Amino acid sequence: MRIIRNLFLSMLLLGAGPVVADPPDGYPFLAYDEGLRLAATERRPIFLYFGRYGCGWCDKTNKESFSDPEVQKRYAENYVLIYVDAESGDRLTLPSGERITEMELGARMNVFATPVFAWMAPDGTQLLKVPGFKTAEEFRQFDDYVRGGHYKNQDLLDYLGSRS
Amino acid sequence: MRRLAAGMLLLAAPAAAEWVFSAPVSVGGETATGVFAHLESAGRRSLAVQGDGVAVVWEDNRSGAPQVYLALKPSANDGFRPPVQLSTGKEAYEPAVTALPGGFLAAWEQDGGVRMRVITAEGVGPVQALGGVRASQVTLHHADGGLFAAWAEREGRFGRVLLAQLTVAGESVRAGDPIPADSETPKDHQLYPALADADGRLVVAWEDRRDGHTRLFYACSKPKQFEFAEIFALNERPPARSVTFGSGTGVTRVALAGNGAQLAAVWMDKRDFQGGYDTYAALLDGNCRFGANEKVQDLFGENTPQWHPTIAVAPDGSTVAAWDDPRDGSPDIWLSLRSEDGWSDDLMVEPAHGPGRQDNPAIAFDAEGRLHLAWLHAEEEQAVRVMYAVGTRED
Repeated sequence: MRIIRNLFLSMLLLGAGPVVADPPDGYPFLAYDEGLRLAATERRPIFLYFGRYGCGWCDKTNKESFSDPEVQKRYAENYVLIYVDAESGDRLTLPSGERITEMELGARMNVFATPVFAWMAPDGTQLLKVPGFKTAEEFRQFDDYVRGGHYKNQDLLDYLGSRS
Repeated sequence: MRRLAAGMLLLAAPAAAEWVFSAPVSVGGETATGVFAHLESAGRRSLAVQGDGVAVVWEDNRSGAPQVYLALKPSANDGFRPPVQLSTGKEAYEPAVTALPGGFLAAWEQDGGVRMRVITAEGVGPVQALGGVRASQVTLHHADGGLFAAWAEREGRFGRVLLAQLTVAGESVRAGDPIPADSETPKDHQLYPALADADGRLVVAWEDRRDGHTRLFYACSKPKQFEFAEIFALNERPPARSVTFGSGTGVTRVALAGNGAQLAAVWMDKRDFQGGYDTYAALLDGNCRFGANEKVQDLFGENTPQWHPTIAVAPDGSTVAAWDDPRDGSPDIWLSLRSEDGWSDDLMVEPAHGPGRQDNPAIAFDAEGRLHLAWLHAEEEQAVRVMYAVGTRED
């Protein structure tokens, strides 16, 4: 089994499989506007996923981290999930009322790599932003940090240090 | 840090000191907090120069909904006239403008289609449709070889880049039959076209997702002929797929500019993924093929992402790229000049540098080699304003 898994990972690294990097399966990701409206209505925090069409690290995150059943349960049940394509010209409306493209949102948030993940309050205020591939365990820790309210009095590194 | 970097830049870049810009002026008139201006179009054609007259087009929500506006500066001695609203629908976005003999032509997206309008010193012509009902991302180009538009139009599931030759009579504009940039039926989206010409050979470049990631392609017409036979890759691809890049490195938003035989492309490119998007460029050769990709920004911009790149070519062939990046803490406008030795160290544009956000440059040369620059300026709790300055190269 381990040989098959390693073989599969090697194929991924060599790019033998398709790399699309859409949102992961099994997660009810919404467009930005719809997600912000839902979060405000239901007073739920937001998990924002900045991906890019063909992004290898996004694909790796989808397959290795978002496939984790506990991560799926935590994020699907507790957050309004929003997916943004960092190169898209699709438009969204910021809380200020400004209409911009998804790519422009990336410029405003200085999204210099994909994937980038942001956790936001129901009103759209950013609480945490982390770039790059993250493991399932890290996504669980980020969830604890945000939903546990630790962001109010600890930065992420201090919080993670206090857990170890 | 900013002063140190600027000081080092001055020491390192004598070419940067050759450009002197006028004091900045606001283009769009008085606007209130909550008004958000955007200088955005396919190919970044938000500014055009006709003689010593300048036209700037943008979108803002001063009327309560996003609409498209144009401000005209009739001559070097005049200021900008009050803006004119060009769009007439519920919402309008991403206007482009090009110079015509005796005026300008603007095109934009309005309620899901493309509209265009002729502007002269006497007034504006009627609003006319271009393309089908699901058209957007329009750009314009006018040269001796003719007047052209390119846009992305939905055909089934995917956007397809189409082009049309335009004819202006008085204040009216008419479009010929559209042709595709690529004769092959799209397998995925074709987006955000850019247009320019090199000695009458029309070049169209666009974003293309057919390979499972965004690539840049281009096609080149024969001289004075409005047809495209073959397409070519513009951005270089990584040697092999990897988890770092996935299917490709990430490239987006190509812009083109030409003058005489000189034609250059610029775009955002994430091949050096650790610093975000970089500004990359390529020059067209005499066979209408783009050469090697060149990183534009200097080492001081290495660790920050570059955004909104655009390019202009002067009558003497001088080629300048402009973009914004936040290397000094907030976005500012930067320029680089291409010479035989490559791209210069980056030039800080004095009136478009400092507190707040200065971004989304649009540039064009006039016949005298002056560089006209429009950009957005925003500070907290204030309206986002369209600004303008003109630069002179002092050799």
